[in-house]
Amino acid sequence: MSPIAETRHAPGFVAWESPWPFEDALPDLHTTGESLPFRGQTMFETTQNTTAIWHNACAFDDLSIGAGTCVLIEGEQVAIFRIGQDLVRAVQNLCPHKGAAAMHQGLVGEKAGHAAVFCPLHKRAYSLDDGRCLEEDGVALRAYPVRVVGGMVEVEA
Amino acid sequence: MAGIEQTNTPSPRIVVVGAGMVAARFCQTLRELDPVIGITVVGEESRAPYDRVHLSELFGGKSADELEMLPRDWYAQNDVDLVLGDRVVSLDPLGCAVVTESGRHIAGTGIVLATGSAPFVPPLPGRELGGFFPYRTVDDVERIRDWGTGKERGLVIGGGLLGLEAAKALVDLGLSTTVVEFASRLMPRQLDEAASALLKRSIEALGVTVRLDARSESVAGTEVVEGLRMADGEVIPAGIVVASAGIRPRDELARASGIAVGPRGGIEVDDAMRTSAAGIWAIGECALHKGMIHGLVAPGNRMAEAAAHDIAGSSRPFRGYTPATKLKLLGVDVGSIGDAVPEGEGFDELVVSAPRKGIYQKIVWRESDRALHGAVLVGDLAPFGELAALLDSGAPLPEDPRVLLAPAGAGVVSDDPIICNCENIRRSSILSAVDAGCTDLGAVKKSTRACTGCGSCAQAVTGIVKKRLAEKGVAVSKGMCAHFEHSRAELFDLAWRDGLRSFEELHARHGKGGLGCEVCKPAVGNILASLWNHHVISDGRDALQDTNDRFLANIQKNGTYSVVPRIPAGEITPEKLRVIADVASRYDLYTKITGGQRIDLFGARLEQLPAIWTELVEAGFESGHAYAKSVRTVKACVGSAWCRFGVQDSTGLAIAVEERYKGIRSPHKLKFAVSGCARECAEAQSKDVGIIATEKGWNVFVCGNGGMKPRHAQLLAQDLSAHEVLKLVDRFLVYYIRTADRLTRTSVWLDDIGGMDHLRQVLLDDSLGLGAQMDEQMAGLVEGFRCEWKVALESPDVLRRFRAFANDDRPNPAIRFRRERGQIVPEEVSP
Repeated sequence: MSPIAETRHAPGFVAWESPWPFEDALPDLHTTGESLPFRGQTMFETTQNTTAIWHNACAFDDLSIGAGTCVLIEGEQVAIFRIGQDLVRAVQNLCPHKGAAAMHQGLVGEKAGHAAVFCPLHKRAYSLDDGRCLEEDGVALRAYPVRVVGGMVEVEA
Repeated sequence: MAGIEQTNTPSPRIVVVGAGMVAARFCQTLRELDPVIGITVVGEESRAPYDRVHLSELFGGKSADELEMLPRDWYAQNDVDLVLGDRVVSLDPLGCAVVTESGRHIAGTGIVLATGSAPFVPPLPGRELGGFFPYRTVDDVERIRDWGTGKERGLVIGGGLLGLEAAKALVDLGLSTTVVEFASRLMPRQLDEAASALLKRSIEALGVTVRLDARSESVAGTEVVEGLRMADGEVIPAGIVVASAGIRPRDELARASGIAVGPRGGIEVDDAMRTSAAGIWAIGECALHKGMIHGLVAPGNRMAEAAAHDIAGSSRPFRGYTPATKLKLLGVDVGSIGDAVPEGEGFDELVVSAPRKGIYQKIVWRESDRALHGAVLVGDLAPFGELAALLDSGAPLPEDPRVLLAPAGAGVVSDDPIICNCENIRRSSILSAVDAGCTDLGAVKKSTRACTGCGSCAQAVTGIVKKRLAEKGVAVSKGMCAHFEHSRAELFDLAWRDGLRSFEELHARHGKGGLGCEVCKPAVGNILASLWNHHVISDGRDALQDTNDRFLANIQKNGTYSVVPRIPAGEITPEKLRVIADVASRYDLYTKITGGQRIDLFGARLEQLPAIWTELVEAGFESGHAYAKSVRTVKACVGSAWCRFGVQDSTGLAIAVEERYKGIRSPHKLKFAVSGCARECAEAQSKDVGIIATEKGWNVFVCGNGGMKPRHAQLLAQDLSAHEVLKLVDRFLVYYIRTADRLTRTSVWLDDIGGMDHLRQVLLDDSLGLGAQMDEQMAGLVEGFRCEWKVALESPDVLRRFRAFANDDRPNPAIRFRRERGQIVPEEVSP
């Protein structure tokens, strides 16, 4: 559980254990579930994305503390969350339930020990660590590896 | 019959004649006692047994299906045959069979008569005219609703219990209603003069006219009713006349079959509900037990149980019933126990009367043995349970009977009072249920049947459960989530006491670690807004807010937002209307008029919100807070400025009220309304705060709501000036904001804090001594108001969040619309 140490923390900020390494994408995280073609985008993938590269998303300062921001990466909508002062997570922006471009507008908090975003439409909680829906098995947001390099947020897609 | 050998004895089957509430209870009990006996129920109405007691709720928007006593599939699952819409026309006591109107011949081994009663329709000339109705069945109610809708005036003959129910029904229909009673007081069988006078006053405050000692002569009109002609020749105009002048037992089947009936009607029964004919029982309102007809559900249920036990071969005799009724008549609590208006000598009485508070209580006892004979309670029913138990036990009154009427908790007479009167459940039974594992009202209802009748004991039962759980040391967590052990009200006080102004401060001092969640973050955001009135989405507070509050608009199913500018009281100039039309055209927004007299603009993209609001703010509009837990609208009728009937300027007051309380954050949304006369066109009695004009000023109703569980608002104060209204509503809101749990509407909060009496004491008598402090707090909130959108538009830091993408200026391509009836709607997506 080393990766947390690489992130910057505000004084007094309480971190939780996260399985998500910023720099090294876990290869098998994208290998569960079914492929769901969705308005030209993929809800989550069945095979490892071998062609993924790091994209510039936005400036770190563009992110609001404790909230989400949406970016467009190669035509895909990615919701980036700045949790507390310095933790950053990225998941797909479209909600798997209604297909609304909504996740980045959801409240960020903690659910069952996970940092989570609550979908603005029906308050369903999704883990920001791996995109899993914390209330329904078999539903998930695609989670993207994300890192902060030189004041810029980068997303691997 | 000699020579014919009976090879099969018929399998036992009970034929129940009548499908009312008591019949339903009979079926239930008999099925519990005997899983195999055949049961056939024949009812003349087309409906399965339904709750007649709550008939008038149909006018309040309840559906007839919701009133059904048992779930639809109960009958099939329990092998009970329901024959509906067919009337039994004759009995064959010897063959133990019934014949119906449609020619069905249904034989059994026993017959239970549950034919109930029929409304007594006074033999007035003209009663055949259209618009004259009895009040008894769902069909009656539907006919009354159909006929009465749109009429101006209604009239009810009969000021008894059912008559007042019928009057409520007409009031709910929006009719200006008159009640005509032959006797010199309302509910003459239950109330004395003083109690009747108090009830009359409270009812009249609702706009109902009550005429006592009024002798009706005939129904006026040619084809349809035009009114009621009185003995003195006066005609009271009315477009609908409802007769509810008592009931008569329906004993005609029994009478025709030679079964014994009483001299004034009613089928004579013994303690096991057996009639004079072998194999035939009678239960409910058609039965005459020891010379008494019992016209209430509770004794009817006891009779049903007695008959079922007798048929099943066990015994649970019916030993009579002390009438004890508790009901809410047109918003006024009335309780009647035993006989409080006895005839003859040898009785003593004690009366507590506080007419200005709407309270009247009287107990009557026999001088000979000091046993309670009867009681009547108006306005404050706290002593009801103990008095009913005392009457039941026949024990002598305490030395000083005044303790019986002391405020709740001051004097305990019975250590095991009846809590649920409908089902005859005592406190001890509820305690046992808790000890057996029930932890909430629902579980107790299932286990004991308490609170499954009229429901008026829900609060009492919940209170007993909570107290027992606390005694047993079962932790009843008041904490709102995993991050705070405090309730919203406790956190409010902590934040106030310590001057805490951020989530971080509050969380560090009083939280349990972690990040906060979807429960505590918005709750704390809401508390901070109620306390300090800072801009809700500046200085990092945006992260606390739910999506709607965070973007000051209401998110819709496709991720776009709706925009609601404030239109106080629904009053708007053509020029401002044009601005809204222009904005809607320019941004191609779907436009709809809301139920709260405003205009909702749908389909705004996140990034369009600042531009839309720039135009609206420039034209003088402010945020309508449709996204917030705060005052939404103050709905108003047009009032005395235009209306022929208006007695006060309702629109003017509504604007003043809306301007005063706009934007103040509260535990849940608040809806207000102001009506300019008793016709109540603004539907103020279904609002959190409803203000209704009187000739002398304004009546204030509180704690009503519509929605999933509609609640009628209750009268808080009468004949106030506009200034007094604001002063009272100030305190009401502050008290609600300070003490309510999160997301608790005022109606539920009212139950939580102990009802109207408590609320009156705090707000009107300042029993907590908080008055001045509450006034000051509200003054600060009103003073500090700034339009949230105006402030947002001045802050680049806030506006930055209103973007589709941080790295791309194009609109979100996933948001698409199609057109329907000339306007946009979201394109359906099938994920």
